[in-house]
Amino acid sequence: MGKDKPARTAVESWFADQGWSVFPFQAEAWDAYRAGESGLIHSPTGTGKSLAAWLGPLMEGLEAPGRGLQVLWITPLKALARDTEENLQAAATALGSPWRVEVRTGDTRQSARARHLRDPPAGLITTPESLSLMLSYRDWQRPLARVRAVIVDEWHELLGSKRGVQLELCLARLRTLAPGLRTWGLSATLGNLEEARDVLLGAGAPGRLIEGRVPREVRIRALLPEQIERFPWSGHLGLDLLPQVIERIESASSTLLFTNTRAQAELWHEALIAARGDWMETLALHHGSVDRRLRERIENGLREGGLRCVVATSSLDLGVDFSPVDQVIQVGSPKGVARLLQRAGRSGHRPGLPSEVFCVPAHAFELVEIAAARRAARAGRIERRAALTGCLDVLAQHLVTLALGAGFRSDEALEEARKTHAFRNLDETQWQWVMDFLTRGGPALKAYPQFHKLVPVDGLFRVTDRRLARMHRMSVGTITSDASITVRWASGGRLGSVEESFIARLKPGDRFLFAGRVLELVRVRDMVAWVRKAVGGVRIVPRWQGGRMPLSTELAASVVELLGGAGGQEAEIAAVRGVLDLQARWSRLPAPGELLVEKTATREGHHLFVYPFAGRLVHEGLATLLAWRISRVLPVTFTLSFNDYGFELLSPEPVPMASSALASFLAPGALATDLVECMNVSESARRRFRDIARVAGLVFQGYPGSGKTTRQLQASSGLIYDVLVKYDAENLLVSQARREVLSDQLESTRLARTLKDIEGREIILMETDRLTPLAFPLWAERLQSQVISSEDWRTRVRRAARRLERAAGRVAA
Amino acid sequence: MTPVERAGESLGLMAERAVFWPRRKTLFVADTHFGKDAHFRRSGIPIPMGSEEADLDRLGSALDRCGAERLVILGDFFHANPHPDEPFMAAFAAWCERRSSLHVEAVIGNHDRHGGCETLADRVAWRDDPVIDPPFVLRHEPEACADGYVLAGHVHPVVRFRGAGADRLRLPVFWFAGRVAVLPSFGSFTGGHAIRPGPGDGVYAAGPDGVLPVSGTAEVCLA
Repeated sequence: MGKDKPARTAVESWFADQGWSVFPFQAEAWDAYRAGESGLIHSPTGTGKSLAAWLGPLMEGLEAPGRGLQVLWITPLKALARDTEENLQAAATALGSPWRVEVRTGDTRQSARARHLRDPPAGLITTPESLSLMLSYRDWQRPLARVRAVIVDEWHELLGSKRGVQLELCLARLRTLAPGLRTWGLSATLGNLEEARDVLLGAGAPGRLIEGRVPREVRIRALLPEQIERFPWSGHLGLDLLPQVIERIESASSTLLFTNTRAQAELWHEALIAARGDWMETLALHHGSVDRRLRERIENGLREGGLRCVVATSSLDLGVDFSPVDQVIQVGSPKGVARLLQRAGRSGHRPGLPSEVFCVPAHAFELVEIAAARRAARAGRIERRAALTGCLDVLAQHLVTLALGAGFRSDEALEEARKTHAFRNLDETQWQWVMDFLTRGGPALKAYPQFHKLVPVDGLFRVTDRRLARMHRMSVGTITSDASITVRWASGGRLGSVEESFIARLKPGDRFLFAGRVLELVRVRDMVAWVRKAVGGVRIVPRWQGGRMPLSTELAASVVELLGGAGGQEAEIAAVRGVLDLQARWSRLPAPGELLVEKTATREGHHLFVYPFAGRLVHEGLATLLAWRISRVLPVTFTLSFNDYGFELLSPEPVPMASSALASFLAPGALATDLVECMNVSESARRRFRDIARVAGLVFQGYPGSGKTTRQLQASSGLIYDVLVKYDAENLLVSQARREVLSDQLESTRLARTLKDIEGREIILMETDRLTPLAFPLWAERLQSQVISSEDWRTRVRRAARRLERAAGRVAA
Repeated sequence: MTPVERAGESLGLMAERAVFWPRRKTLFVADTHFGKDAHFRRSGIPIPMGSEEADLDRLGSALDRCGAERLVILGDFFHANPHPDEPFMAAFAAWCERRSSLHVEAVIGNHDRHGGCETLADRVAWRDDPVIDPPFVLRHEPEACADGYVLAGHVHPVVRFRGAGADRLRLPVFWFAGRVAVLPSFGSFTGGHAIRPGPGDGVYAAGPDGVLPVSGTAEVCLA
């Protein structure tokens, strides 16, 4: 450590000047780095992690600055790059390092990019896509071979996504180019940190797992309504708590109000403005669809204290060293423990004071979820994030990148790919298929005449056609982008972007809520939606994809424990006691070891409610499976609905159903084949193929000014899917689409686990006189999903709730 | 065959996405886009062969079914400039050999202008847009014409049907507007464009095994 001393002294005196002290985890990370190790640093909050990773290489650089590019800093979000640049450069300057830090993303100017190559900075902040692009240029191979460390920020965001897989492959390439490369990752708390580290470092590579600053106590509290409605239904109660929320916002100087969906964020932003017109200037809306410049203004406003409250979605879950706010409010169920802890970590940061998050329940059972989240957090039951494997679309794209860059030999590239976690089990057949796909179009030589993409040149696979090279580089950046439509004022100026699928449902003249404004669609042309300001009237709130995330397994288990009578000291449980008692009286409370099933008849028909508590995606699969299995032995028509707690089958005729029969219908059996038959897997796979086709280079979206030649190359992914299914049914990308539907969309693994779990439970079949508190939200959910005017279902739900209220009153009396 | 009367002539709409004109023993199709898959393959996008062969078979079976002696392609016979060694060229030659009495005409469409209309001169009579064939005017882009009722292509019209729940169906359609009719695109490796027909228009969906009139049907949801 003798060599290290002057640098360490410089760090310590800089820290002292700032009024900071060195945390033990930072010192551990610095030492491990200097010892040549790699690793993952994790903690639920962002504080101090960046310096733990950056100062290792920086101190080393004080003694041996090196020439050219030294450290690559990978960030998942372009929007974070600039902040990071400031922080990293500030540290370098403060320590008297000659190192220069720069940003290279899709937004970087051509002149800066050229300079990066001519005179590389020591530290370069970039995204996985831009790194991939750099690898696709021959000229970049030598500078990249000098890199001594790569640091991956917000690794938990990339893990489990195809971008993560792309990065794994790029890292494997970097390790080949620069054999001594050290890899460090920064991550939020996850349930599978060791796996997260192993995926980052590559198959079989050793590395440290360093726990960041141990968080102060996190307080999770619910804002309690004065009156709990007995019959909770989705989304009703939330805004009823508006006065309490306003009171809390008033009590602090800065607040982050998180919602689960962008639609919810829009609604809350609107409601707050409506209630407190005087907050207009100090209230902001921040979500991923809001334009970058607007978002930056908001982030600065929070930092400088000009803003009182920011309504945000997961777009603010990221954001390194974002200065802390006084308090955090979470609207709606947190759905997961890790997410709630991450969000809570944005608050406080004052010494000795705990992080605190106030949760606003949207319906009565969410109070139970809030209490459950607190228990799970205390017990350290945090969600896992599973890494993806075998994404052949990403592999195919990466191999074209390698061919463009240095060119590759098949055996060496296979060996390199197998060093990643994602492809460690890649077999010869799959590899051969991908190579055939890239060199001949497909395995059957005859089926793809005149195809060429990769060509062997002196033993190396390369791209020789300059047009193909350009097309590939244009597509590399598109690994994540859903076809998104830019929203622009008809009078000029950009508002943000929104998924194409949402805009596709609107007609010119329709009004919708976006970025905190009521807009009227004027027209859509060339991926731009032109809008003008609208006044009042009917509105549609965009429902973005992924808006509804399922309750995590960890949280669901905790909810069942609570409902089953564990604890009960919590204020939230006390508050919903009335509802729980009613559920117990009219039916029964769900309990571990049991599967509650309710049967009831209403004017609508015969309802079967099943409550496995496995999250809405699994329930969707289960409901379809059960309905399909029953309909094979009985002539019957079912209407299905589902939420995080359970699902409902509604039939016009009674279905004779003993609990033993139900058990056999819910047995795992031939789950995989049954699922493929009963769900419209082929149609979903066709939709899923859209992403795969884009990543694998099957669809080319063109680029500005590309003109007619590329227009002739445009075909929808659905069309290509149909042609492949018909004329090359063995295509592995088609099988990948089916597999992704089963594993991601239907969560088939979790579904199988749920069925297995149900096998071991006792089925409790209750015949009830009316809808129970647990059943009511499901019933309301179904109304919501029907295509009727929104006013209508609201009225119907309210009417039904009143009727049940009266019944409850009578029973109680 | 689904009968339709236009300009005093009777026409038959066929599930093969073709229109038969019995009086002149003529079969019309539009937008075959032959060579599209090959163009993709040459550009590094691996689209398998097979769809063109199936399209030629379908064209053959439509001709056999109606007994037409003349075939008119209403533009975009080719997708891009075809290469002489393209598999389609040989397949089409063989197809023509088997139907030596068939007269093939093609209206030159925007895609054909990339060079396609200079090939196959011995098998295809290339005609400049518009072709007057009273009472019809045959052309590629559906623009009204004083010389008669226009039969055209270019648009690739489709209509989306919305059933209960998540049930969605997208079908190519024949679209008969006031003075212009648009045929569905014939090529199976071609996309579609959702149309908004006017109130008096006749719309007929081409399903896998038949043609259904769908104009004015309540459950038709126009995308």
